[in-house]
Amino acid sequence: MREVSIRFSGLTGQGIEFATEILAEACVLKGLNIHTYRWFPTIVRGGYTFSEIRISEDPVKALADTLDILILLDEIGLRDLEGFLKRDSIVIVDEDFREVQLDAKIIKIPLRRASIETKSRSNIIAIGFISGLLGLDIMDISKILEKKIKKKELLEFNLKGLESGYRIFLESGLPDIKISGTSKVKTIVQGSDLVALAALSAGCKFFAGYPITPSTGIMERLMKWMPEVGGLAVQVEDELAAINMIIGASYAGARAMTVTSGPGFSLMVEGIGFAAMAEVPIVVVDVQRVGPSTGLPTAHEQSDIDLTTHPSHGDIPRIVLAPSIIEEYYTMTVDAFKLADKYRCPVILLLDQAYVMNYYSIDVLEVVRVSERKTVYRPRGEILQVFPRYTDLEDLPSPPLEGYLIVASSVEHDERGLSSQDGLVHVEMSIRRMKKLRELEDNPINWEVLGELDACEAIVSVGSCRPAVEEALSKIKDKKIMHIPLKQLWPLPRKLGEVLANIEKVYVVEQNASGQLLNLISSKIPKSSEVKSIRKFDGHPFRPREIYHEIVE
Amino acid sequence: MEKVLERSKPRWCPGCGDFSVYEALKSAFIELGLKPEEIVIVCGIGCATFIWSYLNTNALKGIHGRVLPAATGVKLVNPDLKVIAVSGDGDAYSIGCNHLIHAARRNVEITYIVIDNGVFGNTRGQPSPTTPLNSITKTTPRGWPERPLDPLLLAIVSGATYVAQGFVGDIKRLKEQIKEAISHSGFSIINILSVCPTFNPMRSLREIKDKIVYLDELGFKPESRSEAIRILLSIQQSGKHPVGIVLKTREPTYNELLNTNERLTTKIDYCKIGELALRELALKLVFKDLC
Repeated sequence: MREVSIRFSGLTGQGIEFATEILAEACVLKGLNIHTYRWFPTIVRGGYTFSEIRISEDPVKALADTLDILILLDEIGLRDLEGFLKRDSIVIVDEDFREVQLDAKIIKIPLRRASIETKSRSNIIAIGFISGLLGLDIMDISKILEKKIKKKELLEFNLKGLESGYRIFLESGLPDIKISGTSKVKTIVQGSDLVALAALSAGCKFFAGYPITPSTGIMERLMKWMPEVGGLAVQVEDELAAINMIIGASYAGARAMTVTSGPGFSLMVEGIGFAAMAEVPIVVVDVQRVGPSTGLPTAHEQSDIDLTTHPSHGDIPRIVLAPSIIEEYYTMTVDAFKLADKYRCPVILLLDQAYVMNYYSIDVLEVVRVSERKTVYRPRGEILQVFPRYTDLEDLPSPPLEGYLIVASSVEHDERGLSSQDGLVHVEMSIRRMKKLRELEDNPINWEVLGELDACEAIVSVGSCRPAVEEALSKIKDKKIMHIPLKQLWPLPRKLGEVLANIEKVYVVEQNASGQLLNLISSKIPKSSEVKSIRKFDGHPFRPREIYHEIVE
Repeated sequence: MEKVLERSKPRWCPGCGDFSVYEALKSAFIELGLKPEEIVIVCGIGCATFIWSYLNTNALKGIHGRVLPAATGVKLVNPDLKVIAVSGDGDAYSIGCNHLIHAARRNVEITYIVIDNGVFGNTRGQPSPTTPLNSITKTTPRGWPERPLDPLLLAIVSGATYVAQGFVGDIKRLKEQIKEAISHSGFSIINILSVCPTFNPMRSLREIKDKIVYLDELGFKPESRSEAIRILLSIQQSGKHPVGIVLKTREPTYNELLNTNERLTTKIDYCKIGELALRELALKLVFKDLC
């Protein structure tokens, strides 16, 4: 067997997420690839939750189509199972669990009894059992527990529980599932880790933010890490403060960013317009969640495409990037800072909850040098002048600059930033602002076309839909289909229209109810093409089979 | 020096209080010996904020109500800059009031100049949070059904460490207050009693002047928060306007609490980032021609 997928299901407070984390770390120590997925409510105790881990010898990025092992820590976990269980799936339940009507192998074990005996908890007993089943090294898991549990007594109980679960497996007589590791060293990261690390690597020195799920993880990391590299990170009173503070910081000479989610982004839009008008480079991260309004704060959706591509009143230059694989959470965050400085406009990173909050195994990361801002401008004369900031000069100086004053303004202005009520100045400056994006329209960053280039059918996907599409396509042998994971949402790449020009059928894959990606790219789809919109908006990321069925049916 | 600081001829309505603030601010800069290059004026929206285009300094002209966050960003990145935030009563106490509380609480080293004429002048005559109860304005034809905010009390209870009230009819005193505020370590706010003859003709210089009580003449010492609150409440009860320094204390500033006093740059220490990635994430970074 080349891969195993496992789900722990129960209530928040039962250590469901913890169990997955432990398994993930143990697998990575064996050189296995992992990918986790977590469904959780906003209530901290007693809400329905599940957590999945897909373990594989080959790299996997999409969620699994089916479950090989299901551990039910509570009856509530009997939901969300349609299509997930196979005849040979193993369902582990407590010995006192009521009769379960599932077409799978039900294994009853003394989860509760063993946890009481060892003063540990059911989740630890289950980990012990699973580690036996998967042939994981129990010593590795002990070490991981030692690292995670600081209280000595608690650790002892947990280690006893782990051993007890392991013994229960040995006594069960079940055959173990062979999944062999590789020698390749890996580590586990969440998207949050990569975004924060990338910000540091790009020379970001100032962060201001307001906590909001699911973006808070990035903020927590930056609050901790930023001072270590000579930067500053602050938590502020609201998103209005955050966006305006990073604009002040960038004006004063630091690369600056904020992170938020849909509701916070909605509050920031006026500031984004300000940055675009004043031509102050900023990076704004929107980790999307289910909207509208408060929506489902902890769940996955891609419904901020409209908002982020059209974030302000007036005509503003803006760049919207949507990374499509976990590694791009690093590389494209770095790109965001480079582009912001180059084009002096807001760059929005449109991210997915599924990537930000879940765990992935990755190999090494390659770091590319980012140059410093050019801030030295030789004074030309004795007289104090206002620096011509709104010209094509590459320098982006900040005060104090000998012989020059620096003005950044939200009011329509001339090339120095001084106010002008002249309609013709507005024409000239509007053209200046809007032409900035032409280069990116022609040469989009990270443009990729996957699959069959001479295909008559094409899939356009966004963000984290990519791996599920790729896996679905790998199973379709009788059709030639190309796949464009669209990563630059604004400005829309001209190439998109060129590539789609002769396509007979276009599938647009996205996670929202109204087809926001389809609306965005509709001008690039030939009128003669048949269009199929594949949408999912139940708060969960796509499974490969869901896309497969839409394509082959 | 005076000429250097003048970018263009100030234009406000005749009799506008903003002219006095402009003159006081300019003189304060000169007397403090500040170079225009080291001053940043941060502004929001409103007639008062036009001051940035008349004074020849660095400027960040922002959006309505968000003066203090933008100014805070500037100060945190470069503590050597003198950051002067300028607002009217609408910008400061209506749309941006929340930020005032937090900037004061952080004691961020910014001088906040609020020109308080009790009216939205730029939108041509609507009430602001400092407009008296029952005032008839364009949007309150039946009278303004709200009691006015006391900005001085708000600043004091929020944690500001320099709080003063100025008066546009007394430029000399105003200039001294501004100088002291700029030299102060911590968040300083001067609420300046002003007039708008065009859109708030009910409030005249004469009328303000008659009600002024000078704090120094009372022998008041602005050294404690509780004394400041007590005197403000007692003057308020008598229907008068206190003018002078209400509070001046030395407490740790935001920069001090964040332990930052150097200018942030865009320099990148890749080796440090590599160490951090290894320690925090067990992640090995591969550097291309670096380190």
